[in-house]
Amino acid sequence: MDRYALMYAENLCKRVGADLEILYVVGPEGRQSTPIHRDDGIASNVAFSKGNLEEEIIKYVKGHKEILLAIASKRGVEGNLSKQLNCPLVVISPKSSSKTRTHDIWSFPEVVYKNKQSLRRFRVSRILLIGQNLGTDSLAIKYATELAKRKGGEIVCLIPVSPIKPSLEPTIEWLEAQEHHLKKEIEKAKRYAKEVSEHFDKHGIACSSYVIKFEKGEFMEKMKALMPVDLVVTDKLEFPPDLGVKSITDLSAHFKCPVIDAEAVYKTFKPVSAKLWMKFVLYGIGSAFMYFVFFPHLEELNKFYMAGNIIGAIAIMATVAIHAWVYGNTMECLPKFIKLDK
Amino acid sequence: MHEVIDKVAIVTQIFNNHPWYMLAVILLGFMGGTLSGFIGSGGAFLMTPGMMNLGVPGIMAVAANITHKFGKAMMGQKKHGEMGHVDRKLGIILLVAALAGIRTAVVVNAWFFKHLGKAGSSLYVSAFFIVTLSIIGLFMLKDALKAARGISTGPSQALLNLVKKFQIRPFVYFKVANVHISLPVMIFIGFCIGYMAGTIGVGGFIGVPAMIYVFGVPTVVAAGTELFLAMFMGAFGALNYGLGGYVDLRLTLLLYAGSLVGIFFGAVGTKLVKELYIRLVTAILILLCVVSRALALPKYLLKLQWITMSQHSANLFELGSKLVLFSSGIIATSIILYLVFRAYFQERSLYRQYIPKGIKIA
Repeated sequence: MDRYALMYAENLCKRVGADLEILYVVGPEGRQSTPIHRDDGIASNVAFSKGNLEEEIIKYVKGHKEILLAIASKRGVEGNLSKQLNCPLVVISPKSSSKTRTHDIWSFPEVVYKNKQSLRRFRVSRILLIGQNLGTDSLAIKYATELAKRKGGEIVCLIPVSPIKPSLEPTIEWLEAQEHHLKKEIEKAKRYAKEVSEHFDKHGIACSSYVIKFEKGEFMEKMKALMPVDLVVTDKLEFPPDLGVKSITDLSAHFKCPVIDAEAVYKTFKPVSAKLWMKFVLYGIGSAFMYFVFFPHLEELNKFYMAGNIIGAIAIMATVAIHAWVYGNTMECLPKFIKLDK
Repeated sequence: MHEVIDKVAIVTQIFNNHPWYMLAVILLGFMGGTLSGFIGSGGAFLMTPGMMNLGVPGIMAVAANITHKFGKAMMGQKKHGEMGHVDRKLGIILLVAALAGIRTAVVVNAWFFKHLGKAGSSLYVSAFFIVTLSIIGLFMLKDALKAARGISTGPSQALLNLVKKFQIRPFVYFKVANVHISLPVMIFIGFCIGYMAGTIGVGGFIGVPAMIYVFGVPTVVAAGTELFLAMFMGAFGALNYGLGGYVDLRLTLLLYAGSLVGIFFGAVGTKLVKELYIRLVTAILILLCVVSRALALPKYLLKLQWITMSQHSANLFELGSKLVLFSSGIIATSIILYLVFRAYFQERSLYRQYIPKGIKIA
């Protein structure tokens, strides 16, 4: 039994409150079943079986309709097994998981592949919402509300308050100013927490809110206490320098579940504006002119550009400025089309 | 007029003999642009030697590159919207000194081209490249390795002691940066930045660290002021090389074709990769470019008849130089693009799982 696959399964069971069935395909005993008692609250049952690993998994899953998800170690399991199962299959890679485990005690083993019946259909029962300015009209609140209504989950709301007011010149009154700033921010955060709770109450969604200082120790401690959650949804966050993260991508490495930035989601699904298309077409025509009409004539034109006088030099600068502007504006549209540059 | 036609003929001849070299220049632009977006400054350390590897004389490669830098910095300004943390007073003093440095570099570079020809110009640029970028690359590597071991990084105590000795009056106060800086030291550093930019097209590598460690300017102000400098230095460099008739716009336009695409992917990459890895990749790449330039030296020396060597051996060295430069550039760019697109597809996959169809959040 691969311990990383087992670890993944145990963590998942804890999060979704499911029971665990363990199938050993070894030994000559034939099929047996033994209930085991665990102290972590997961009801477990171990079954033993003899034969080919994949065939035994298929047989077992077919015989147990209540199985929602199969988890297997990559050793001895092929990709096409997923097609023969009635439930999603998650395959765990022991090698990659051992790497991540040594770096981060909170991290999960790596999921190598899943079948097409994705985990989407699982119930998202607990959503952690993090934001510094969580007004009821914020994107994160709207997204979490929609998701919780559809999936029937509860919301845990975390409002971190930044204790440091950015300042280049610390003064004698700095400490006093910081205390005043923190007091004001906490009051504001508590107001947000109240508004958010009322908002979720109105939609019939269970919600609990917490206001904390946005400092590495307190933030991480609170995060640990609030785990396990199924999904983390974030609003705009200004990370304190001591947290050592630049973006939400860095933060997601610390959690056991996916992290979604609501603003990034909004920008990803927002349709490309007509203005951007217009810009692309107009500057694109200019760029095409520069490369397909102007460029082939440069051998001749260079006698003027490369004459080594002031007119030639100024002409070079003007041409370069125009070209960089036209072509730069065209190329600037490309990452926006594929939503790479949000 | 005869000289003008000769300079035009150099690039024409290269492209007529090897039409696919046009694609190679676009590729160089793409790699340089990606790295430039990823590192924050630079890209020239790959593009200048890359063009020289294709047979472009050193002075024309630098001219094409500095002209390209002018337009790119102009776009950078547009992208940033405003200068942000720019100490204009500091920027202007440094700029005046840097312009003098660029002008001197252009005169020196032109002297080598006129007296020793294509090979002499390329040899001078390569030698300058090897000396300066070896020092910078080794310092950056040492710094990155120290950071990897968890040791605090920064300038060495010896450098700080040296700086203290050269605190010569008069001092000038800079409000945005909130520092007093020795005027002679500032002029010297500005001149060095300009001379380096004018000779190999790379100036930011010493500009930003010098402002932070020697002048004590905050990092954000140093980065903003460097951007301010880059645009005017690029413009002045383009004007000066243009006055000498060394700017072949074909090279500049081909560089743009790749660089303005790559720069956006590189910029996205910075959000996905830890700063330590960015510094490591930069240092290793700079040192590989130095190795590539060193391998190109025998051919120039042979052309100047300063050494004796079989043509076959010289060609082998040249091939090695091309291979090292292009393969290291391609590998580094591929790693950056892989990271960018892996993160992009992971994000899409996550959204597919957790965002039910028809959900509206705005």
